[in-house]
Amino acid sequence: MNLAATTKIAAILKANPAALEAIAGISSHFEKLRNPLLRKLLASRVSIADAARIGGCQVEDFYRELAPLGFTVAKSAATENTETAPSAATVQKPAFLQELAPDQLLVLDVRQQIAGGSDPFRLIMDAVNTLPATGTLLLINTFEPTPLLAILEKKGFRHFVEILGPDLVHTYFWKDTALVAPAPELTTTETEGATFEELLTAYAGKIRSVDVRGLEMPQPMVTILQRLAQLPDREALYVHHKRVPQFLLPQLQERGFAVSIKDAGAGDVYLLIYKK
Amino acid sequence: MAAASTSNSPARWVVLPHYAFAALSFVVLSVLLLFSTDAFGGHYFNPKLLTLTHVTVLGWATMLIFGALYQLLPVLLDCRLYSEKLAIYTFGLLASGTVLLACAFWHFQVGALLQVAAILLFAAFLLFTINVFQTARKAPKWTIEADFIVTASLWLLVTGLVGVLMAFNFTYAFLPEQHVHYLQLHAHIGMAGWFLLLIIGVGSKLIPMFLLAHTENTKKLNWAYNFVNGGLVLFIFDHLFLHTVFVPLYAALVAAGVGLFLWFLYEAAQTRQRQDVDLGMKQTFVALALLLLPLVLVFVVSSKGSLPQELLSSLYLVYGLSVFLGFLSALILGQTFKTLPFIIWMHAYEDYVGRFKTPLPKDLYIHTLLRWQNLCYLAGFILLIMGVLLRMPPVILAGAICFTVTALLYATNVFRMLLHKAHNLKPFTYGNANA
Repeated sequence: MNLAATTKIAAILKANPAALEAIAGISSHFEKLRNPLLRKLLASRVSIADAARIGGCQVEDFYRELAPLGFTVAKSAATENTETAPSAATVQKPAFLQELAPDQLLVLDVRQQIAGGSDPFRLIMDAVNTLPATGTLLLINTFEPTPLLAILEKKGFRHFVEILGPDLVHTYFWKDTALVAPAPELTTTETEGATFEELLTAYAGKIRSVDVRGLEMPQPMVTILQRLAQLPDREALYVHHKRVPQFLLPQLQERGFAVSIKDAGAGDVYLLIYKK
Repeated sequence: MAAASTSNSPARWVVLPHYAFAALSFVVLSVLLLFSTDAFGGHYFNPKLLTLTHVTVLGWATMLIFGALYQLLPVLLDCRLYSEKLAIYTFGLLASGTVLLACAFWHFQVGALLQVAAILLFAAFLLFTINVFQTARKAPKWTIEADFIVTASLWLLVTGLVGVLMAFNFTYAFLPEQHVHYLQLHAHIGMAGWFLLLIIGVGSKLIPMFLLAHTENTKKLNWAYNFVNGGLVLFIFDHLFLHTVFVPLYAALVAAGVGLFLWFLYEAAQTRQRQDVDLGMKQTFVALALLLLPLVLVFVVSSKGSLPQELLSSLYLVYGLSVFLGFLSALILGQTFKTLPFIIWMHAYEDYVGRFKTPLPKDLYIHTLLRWQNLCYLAGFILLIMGVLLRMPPVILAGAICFTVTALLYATNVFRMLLHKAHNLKPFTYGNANA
């Protein structure tokens, strides 16, 4: 397959799973990809250019390491300017962040969640949603949270990334009221036929999640339908289930919800439910 | 019921009459037990015991399994039931056949009445097998559960066929061997072929599901399938044509199959996420433990050892009791409260979930009655076995009384659920709902 700076890591891993080892060898930062959870979380949202920035290396390093595995580089891509994204370290820290009063700063440390193998996304979104209009969120993490930057940007958040060490990254998020853009319209024509991953990206930042694996029948169905009754119109519900819920599907249809299902096998089924 | 029509779930009038008939059969059989304490002193070929056995296996066990399967097949095979109409006809044939057969045996009228009953029952089994086959053919994915269920329905048909032949043999005596010889065949095809295979197939899916456990490797189930069927086929062949002394070997094959099934369940139980065990599951575990009794006894009855004749005939009776009133009944008493509340709840509340405050399946029956049902059952079973072994009719009577209490408690809960109606639902008021 042809590589470019914009190629997503997930596409590379899908084309050849052996690429995981090659990428992990480029920078110790990419060891994270060995963790299935982080791989799922990051690989679909991070392009080669993003990854190079996170890992402190060059896009060319990827091309070089992946070439033996049969990946080729399009001519235009090889010469493209890879310096478009400014490295976080070169940007000046905004003055107001340095003078921030403690009561305006909400600190969230997700390093333990990452180390423990759980997805901190929900935790972060909860913190973002409860953030007062003039507040700032400080996210303490082990890497630059590239996917999150894009998601929160769409929600009108500005960010500043401060790399304090190989495993310590501070990211600040604050709302710039001037930047708030209306949420992109999601019509059925756009979402129909879309793959699970595409839908996930389309609803990025507008997803509520629930894990019903530990519930006995019919509690998963009750929980999901109750959550859906509370779900704002343009948001989606991300469900982690043990099986494709046969009794739920007709109920969703009757209530005007569409569902996209991803069966990861071995008792792991993901559903993305949204209003038609 | 707009939603139910789009799901794979069958209509409720296909499923629920089976539960009602089974509960009534259980009451009838325990009352018959009260009047049969004298029947346990001799040979198992006794009109009262034949009646009891057939009410138990047909009216109680098979009836409930048919009803539950119409609900579960679509879930297990991921497709709609082939025909609901066929299921209703099957119910009619099975119900009328069971009643007639029970009357024929109780009064020992082995002529036309018995033959008509046998034919009705065989027709019921035939329609059921057709329904199962045609449903399985539509399944998008073939699973080991489908193997078990389809094969079990075939063995049910064979059991019925042997039964019909025996019914006519009473009048025309055309079979080369003694009647009891075929009775052993009939009983064992029914026990191992129909009940055991079916329970392994359904149980291996449902029990881990209720425990919220993982089951990834079905290799043990594959071998369980091979062992049980292999043992049964060898037994039939030997019993009909060879008459060797290897019967315990065939029993060992079947026992090994059951052992693998239990091992499979044990491994699944290790991965369970649900630690608290409700009353329905407790009773199910009691049933699985009771399964060990016939597994031991099958070697005693098949080896025809040098035991005194009187003890041996008591052991034959205990063997039969341990299968039908032991394992099978115990399992049904437990699993009814894992399946029926959910079915009733589904039909009553699926359209209201999330919109109104709805009760849960476990709120549809009375837990105190279920607890006493489980206790009475176990006491009744132990008393019955003791009474038969010790040849003490008063102890048998005490066991029968316990069974009657069990049956009444069971029927109360079951009919309470069957008559349940959704009423006075209060709508939810969500704090920040933006409907």
